[in-house]
Amino acid sequence: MALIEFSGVTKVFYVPAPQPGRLGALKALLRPRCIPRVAVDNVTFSIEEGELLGYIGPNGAGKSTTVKLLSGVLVPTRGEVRVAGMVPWKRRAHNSRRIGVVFGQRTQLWWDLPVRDSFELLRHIYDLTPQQYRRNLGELCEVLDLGPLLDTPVRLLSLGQRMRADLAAALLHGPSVLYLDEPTIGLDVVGRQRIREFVAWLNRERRATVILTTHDLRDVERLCRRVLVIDRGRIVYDGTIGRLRELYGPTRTLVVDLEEDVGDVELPGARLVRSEDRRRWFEFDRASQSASRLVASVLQRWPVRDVAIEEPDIESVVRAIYERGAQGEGA
Amino acid sequence: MASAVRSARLYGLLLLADVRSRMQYRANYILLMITILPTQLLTLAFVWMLVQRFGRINGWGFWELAFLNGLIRVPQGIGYVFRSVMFVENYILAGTLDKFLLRPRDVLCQTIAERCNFASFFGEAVPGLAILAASAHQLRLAFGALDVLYLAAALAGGTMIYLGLMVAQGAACFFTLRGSALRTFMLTTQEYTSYPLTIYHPLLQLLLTFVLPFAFINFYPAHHFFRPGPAPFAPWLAYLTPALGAAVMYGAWRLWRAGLARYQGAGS
Repeated sequence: MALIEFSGVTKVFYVPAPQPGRLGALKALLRPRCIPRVAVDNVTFSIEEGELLGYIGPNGAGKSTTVKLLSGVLVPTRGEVRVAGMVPWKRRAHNSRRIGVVFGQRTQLWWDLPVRDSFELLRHIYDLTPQQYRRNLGELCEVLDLGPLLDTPVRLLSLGQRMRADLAAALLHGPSVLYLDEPTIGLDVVGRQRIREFVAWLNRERRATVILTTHDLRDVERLCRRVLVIDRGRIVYDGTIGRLRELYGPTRTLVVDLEEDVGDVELPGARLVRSEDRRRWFEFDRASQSASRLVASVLQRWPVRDVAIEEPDIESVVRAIYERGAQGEGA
Repeated sequence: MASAVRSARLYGLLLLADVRSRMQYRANYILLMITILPTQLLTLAFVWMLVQRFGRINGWGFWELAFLNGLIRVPQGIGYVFRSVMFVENYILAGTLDKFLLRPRDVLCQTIAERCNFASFFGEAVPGLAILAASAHQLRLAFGALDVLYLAAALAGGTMIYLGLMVAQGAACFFTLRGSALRTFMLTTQEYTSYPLTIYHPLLQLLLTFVLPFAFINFYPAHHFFRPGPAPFAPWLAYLTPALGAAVMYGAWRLWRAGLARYQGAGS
């Protein structure tokens, strides 16, 4: 049996609705009318022990709700969630000792206290023995390079530093299952790269099962073999990253900033899709065209100030999935 | 047993962490403590002026009224240390509640331990005790061992009633999503405890006795000492404060459980 089983899970939130009319506020108070909002809609998937799964989708697609259902914070409206044979919300405390959760947009650290104090408090919250605590903290400090930060108050950390501290806080009790919800959000290239390396290390060295939620496709491309795409509460793709790329991203875009306006231009192997002032957008096929050759030929033809290559973002991937009517493998 | 001690230690550490966080803004903290005190004294000064102007109020002189005041200050001062439990909607919106649910610990205990306000203990409960002692002295109350025991039980019971009402109000946020209306209702109702219950309309007496039982915190126990006339409803209500305290706390706990289940989506 798989480590994590998510079968036919639906989660509906009831959002109180404002009511029209002059007495609307009063009516809403006496008899609130609630609009059901389906956050997760009949979702089924399973994850094997040791997998590193990418879970992607646009904002508001249901990613965080899935994580909360997995960690026992929320109870499904329909369907069943099992983690290591247990229903998370029924055995919340027990389940919480084996999972580590990071919500990238929030912190569980004590804002005004030094980083070390948060770790000390978590040691008591999770009832760790001094040996466990020292061993885990030592290892995490080394891998995440936290040593110099331990005595800094959390509010003075940069976003990247805070994220590393938050990752350590979530891992201090040595969980074997990790739910990382947008751990790279808002980080710069270097910060993102560090987090990616750390996640890879966790999966490889600590053999942790990881669900990585993101709306940055590059995170998933670097780390995961398997990826789930969720949109409006539904799984629209479940399969390998390679096949997802074939499906969504046959094309990339080359953006060229010209030194002077040269009017209409043509570039063999690419298609001009947009033209604005001195900037030109060329779409080209990922499989048949090499980006470096295209750049070389652009430089040969025109005086160029700058070039950039754009990858399709998650929104366009989801759009592409719909346009093709493709449902991925087994979704 | 060992685990109970460990838990108590944990929640103590969490409270301490909050105190230490606040000490980062020390001036503000001390100012807060200093500003609570004058508002307390102002209430008493107002009572004194009333008595000067109109004489005894339904048989209660200034020191009796001061005693009445002291009896509510102590439970309120202790309750207010954990006052953030009333603002559960903020915890819901900020995702703090999810953070609590992710940990292998009781959510209510974590909520209470998240923020504390020791300023109100020193600015309110301690002066409250002083007022109690001063008025007992002025009134030359002959305190026997039983009276001391009764007073201690009444204060403990009153504190439990107060804490219970606060938790219940916090739990109500799970159902109403916004707690401000109920909170205002509770805090304004509480204002009525500054004067003897007998001066109010019977409906208000009913409210303060059986709906939001603030009268059990100070009126009935004070009445038990002075008996300045017949008690509303029954004089033996004065003995119910500790039991009622336990009952209110239990009820609040049940309401909290139901509210949390509703938040998670298991209820309703």
